[in-house]
Amino acid sequence: MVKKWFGQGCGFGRKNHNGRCGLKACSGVPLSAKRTCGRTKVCSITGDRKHCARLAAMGLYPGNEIELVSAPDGENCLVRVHGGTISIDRDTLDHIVVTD
Amino acid sequence: MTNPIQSYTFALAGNPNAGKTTLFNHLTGARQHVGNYPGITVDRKEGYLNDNGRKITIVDLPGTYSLTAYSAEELVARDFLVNEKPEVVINIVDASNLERNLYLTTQFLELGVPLVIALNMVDVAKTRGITVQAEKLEEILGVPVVPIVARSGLGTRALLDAACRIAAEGNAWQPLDISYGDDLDATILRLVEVITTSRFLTARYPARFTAIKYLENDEQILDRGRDESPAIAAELEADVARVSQHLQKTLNVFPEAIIADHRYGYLKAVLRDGVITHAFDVDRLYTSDKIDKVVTNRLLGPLIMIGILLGLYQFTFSWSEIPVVWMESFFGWLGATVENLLAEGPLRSLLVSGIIDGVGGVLGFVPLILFMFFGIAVLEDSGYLARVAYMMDRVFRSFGLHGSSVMPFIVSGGIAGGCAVPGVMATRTLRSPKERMATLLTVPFMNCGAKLPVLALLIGAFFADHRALMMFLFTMLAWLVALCAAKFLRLTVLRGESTPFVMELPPYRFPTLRGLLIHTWERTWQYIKKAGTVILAISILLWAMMTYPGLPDAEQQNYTEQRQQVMAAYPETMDEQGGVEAKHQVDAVDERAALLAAIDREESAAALRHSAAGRIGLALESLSRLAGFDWRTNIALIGGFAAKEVIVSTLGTAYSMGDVDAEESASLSKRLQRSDDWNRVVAVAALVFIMFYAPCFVTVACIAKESSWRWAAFSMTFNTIFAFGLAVLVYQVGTILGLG
Ligand SMILES: Nc1nc2c(ncn2[C@@H]2O[C@H](COP(=O)(O)OP(=O)(O)OP(=O)(O)O)[C@@H](O)[C@H]2O)c(=O)[nH]1
Ligand SMILES: [Mg+2]
Repeated sequence: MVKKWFGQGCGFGRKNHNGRCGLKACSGVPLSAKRTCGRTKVCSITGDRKHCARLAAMGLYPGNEIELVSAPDGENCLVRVHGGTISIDRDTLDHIVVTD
Repeated sequence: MTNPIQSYTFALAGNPNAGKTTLFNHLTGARQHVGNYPGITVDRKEGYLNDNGRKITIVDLPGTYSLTAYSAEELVARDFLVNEKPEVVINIVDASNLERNLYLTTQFLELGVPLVIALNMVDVAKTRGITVQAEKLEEILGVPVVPIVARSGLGTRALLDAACRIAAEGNAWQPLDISYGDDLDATILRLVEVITTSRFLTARYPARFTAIKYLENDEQILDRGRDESPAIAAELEADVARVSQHLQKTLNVFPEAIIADHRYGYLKAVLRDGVITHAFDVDRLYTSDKIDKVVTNRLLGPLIMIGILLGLYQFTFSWSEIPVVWMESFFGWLGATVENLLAEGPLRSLLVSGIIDGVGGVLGFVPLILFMFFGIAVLEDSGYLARVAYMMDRVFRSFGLHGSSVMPFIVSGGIAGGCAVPGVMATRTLRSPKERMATLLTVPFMNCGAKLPVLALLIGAFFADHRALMMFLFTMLAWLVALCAAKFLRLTVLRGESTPFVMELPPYRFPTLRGLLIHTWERTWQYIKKAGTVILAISILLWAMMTYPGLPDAEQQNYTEQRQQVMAAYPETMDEQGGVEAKHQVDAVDERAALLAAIDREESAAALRHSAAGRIGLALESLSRLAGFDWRTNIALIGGFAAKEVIVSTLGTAYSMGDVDAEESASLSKRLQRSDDWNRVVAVAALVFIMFYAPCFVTVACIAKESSWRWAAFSMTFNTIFAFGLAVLVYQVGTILGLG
């Protein structure tokens, strides 16, 4: 079910998680796999184009720095970005690739 | 010479939770709902204000993060701006979180609307060590920037003056140009040229704005463009598609990500110029984040949540106990007084049994409601409810609901004591229609304020030693049933994919006493108002159904004769003699009174059986006995179809009229405890039925308005059948286990 929603592929990044993103090349892991808090950088975001655009408006777009308030560890998590705290569900986390 | 009366329209726009409604309320004196939770306002609201002879209309818009048509709220806000063209847009930005908030501002500037920036929450910014140089920001952005504290009203005078000044100038819209990098700028220039030469959509939007929205793939503007001129629209779309493909190939992004990046980049540059100074390290976590590390912890979080709920119930029950008794005795006294003042007859019966018992029974619980609402207001204003939504999202997801469903559930009484009507409306924040329907149909299962009196009564009567715990268990049961029902709906009639849930968490705030009192009073007042209107009408109707048709003359004659026999057997006259004689006579007087009262009670019981409501109750008894309900309970449950509040009062009337063995007048809770028809198992079965059967009429009408009459009818029948089945199960199992 979830796959279908994200399946359309908005093209923010390559599916193999190792492509170029933002304006520089970077390799990384899905945010959902992160085990630690702290700063990291968004490499790419995949999924429904509208959803990606909403995330971008909230400050989550490739090339931007974010700070994990809680470690996702397979669940939803809190992220600080541009001075605000955003909660992100786990399906979206799967589609955000960040630097390792 | 007289000045013509000036009238202006100011729109309040900004990010969710920036304080728009707080400012709106302050300016217009309105009492729109404010809460420390993003997305409280879902529709535009208008208010008026008279300022030095100027008539000003203030429009409160839903909060948005951008002006692109990604969601309904964004459409409401943008459509208002471009269609109604307000004289001034007051952009409320949160000074403690400037970068994020100014993102929307850049789009207002690009749209070119006459703008005034209200720099709100400077008090919060100060405690975080953030200082914003308003003059400097004003200089860079070229629009007035006024620091305010919407909560206290500080700076709102200056804000209004600035807005009036801009309105009086009446300048044409002046869009700002932001650079989006070489690639996109070249494209935008090309698009703008096509748009200006063909005057494409220029009546509504500036050319550059349209070009950017084309790049951002804004569906509403794409549709409008196709309607206006299919040929030009196709030309623009083809150009944009080419650029998009190129960007994907080279940078692997869509244009909107690059646009967002440049807007934030533009803001970084603006803010770097000494606009903002931090007293502390920029990177340090704010207190809010530190609290969140504990409160939303995977293990501790749910425990804290349970602790807070139990504490709230304990607080509510223990603090409201004494005032509830006071209210009860007040209405008891009122009823007795009216009874003594008026002669027996339909009028007295209507006043005492219909109105005082009916409305008084509902008003008697006002203290309980008051304390519950106060507790909920604390949770909402502090920002804790947003954390609840965050933690519950995981659970909700597995039942086919959404993180945004949490707020409608809580508004409907998820903590106990809300109302399903605003709960149903609050489902508008859900974007997916199927998730929205599933939420809308299950929120009436929550324990709204109207069910609270029944819960309090039955828990008090049968589980007096564990009231807070039982309240907690029944709340959990409501959630469990609602979630399972949602899952069932999502697996059958409302099948569909789940949608993402991304929400900005508001910072924790100290609630102000004023805010708490306003919240508490507002909701309590709603409850009181309903008691005085809807409940009054229903009580009178129920009274009539329980009184008419009256007993046939022959039977009435029968009771009169019995009374005369008693009177003849015990003559009233007493001799002024002492000793054994007198003692004997006193006994005789007592006996006579007891016999007469017994006849009265028997007559009223017979009358109730004979009445329309009594007949319905009796007719249903063979079925309702499966769940342990006697005919008098049935009458109350039927009343509950109209409004759940009347269940308690109707039960009270039915039991005082129909109770043949009662020694003397006693409280309803005592009567139920003593009655053969009630015990713990029946109490639980009745509560289960009352919690889950058909929503009240007002909710059904609201469901119909928000969806369709078919869904409303579905909700009535589905819930009633389901609730009855569950009640039967509880009663039968409980009885077999001998728990009664
Ligand atoms: N400390 C402080 N808090 C404020 C101020 N203005 C508003 N608040 C609080 O901020 C929270 C959000 O206020 P609202 O007025 O509901 O915000 P809104 O912009 O209407 O939000 P939505 O309707 O959800 O878009 C509430 O808890 C307010 O009490 C302020 O100047 N200072
Ligand atoms: Mg609001």
